[in-house]
Amino acid sequence: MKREARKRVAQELQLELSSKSRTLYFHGESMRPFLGEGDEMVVEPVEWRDIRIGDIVTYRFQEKFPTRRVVWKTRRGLHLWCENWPNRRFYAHRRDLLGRAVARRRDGEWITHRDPEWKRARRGALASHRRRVVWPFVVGLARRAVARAARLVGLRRSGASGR
Amino acid sequence: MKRFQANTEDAAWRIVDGEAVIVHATTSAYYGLNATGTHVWESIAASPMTLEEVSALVSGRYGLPESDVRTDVESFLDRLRAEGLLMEAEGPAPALEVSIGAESVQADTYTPPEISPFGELEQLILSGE
Repeated sequence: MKREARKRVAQELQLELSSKSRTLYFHGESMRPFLGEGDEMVVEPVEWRDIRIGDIVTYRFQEKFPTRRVVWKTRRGLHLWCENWPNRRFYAHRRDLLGRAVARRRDGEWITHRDPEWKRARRGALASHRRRVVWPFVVGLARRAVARAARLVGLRRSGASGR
Repeated sequence: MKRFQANTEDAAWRIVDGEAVIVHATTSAYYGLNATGTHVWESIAASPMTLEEVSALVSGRYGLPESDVRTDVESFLDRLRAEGLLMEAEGPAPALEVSIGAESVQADTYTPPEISPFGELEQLILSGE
């Protein structure tokens, strides 16, 4: 096994051990305000069937371990979103799923996925996703459907008047 | 007779291409095992074993007299213990004896079980960029 491959495997094992090793940290601004630069994290292995909309998951992507919120689950993978980057979309194949975030430490205080703050953030993020992504998408679809219907009606009328 | 078991509280492992990669949670150290070491590790992880049982396992696998492998196995187990990956099993031995040495002999050439340390893992960064 090549050195880099071995280290990669070891890092994935490190993720599994994060509740004991306490060596996971979040980097970046994409998940603010819930996750911020330097937050300590615990990520646990999770069965595919246990993943729920609103969970925060970590997955393999190139040399990184992206950590984002699940907004849609299909048979093959997860559609992911970041609260602070509402216009970007992400996708993770189920084979690349590594675990689910279950705890966060900030300013010396831990919260877990069972705490009200975590649940509030989850509800808020999903509501924000609906408002910013789902509804505009649905409204766009409806407008296109109406425009298409109007064109069809117009064609019929012009066809009828042409006879 | 001392029986050894894998320290599953602190160690996580995965076998890739026939070689085990093991990470210790507390020290963040990670290790690689060669094929013989991986076979021994898998067996001990499945069920606690004595030095004699492990020696019999290895000798059976490679078709060698037990005395030829015993020293290698002993130093390998000592090393695993020193690294905190192995511990003495508590409680009585399992009622069912594992059939040792019944495994078919493989054509592989025997190499002593080895553990290679690869240093400590640094903090792992979860990417949110």
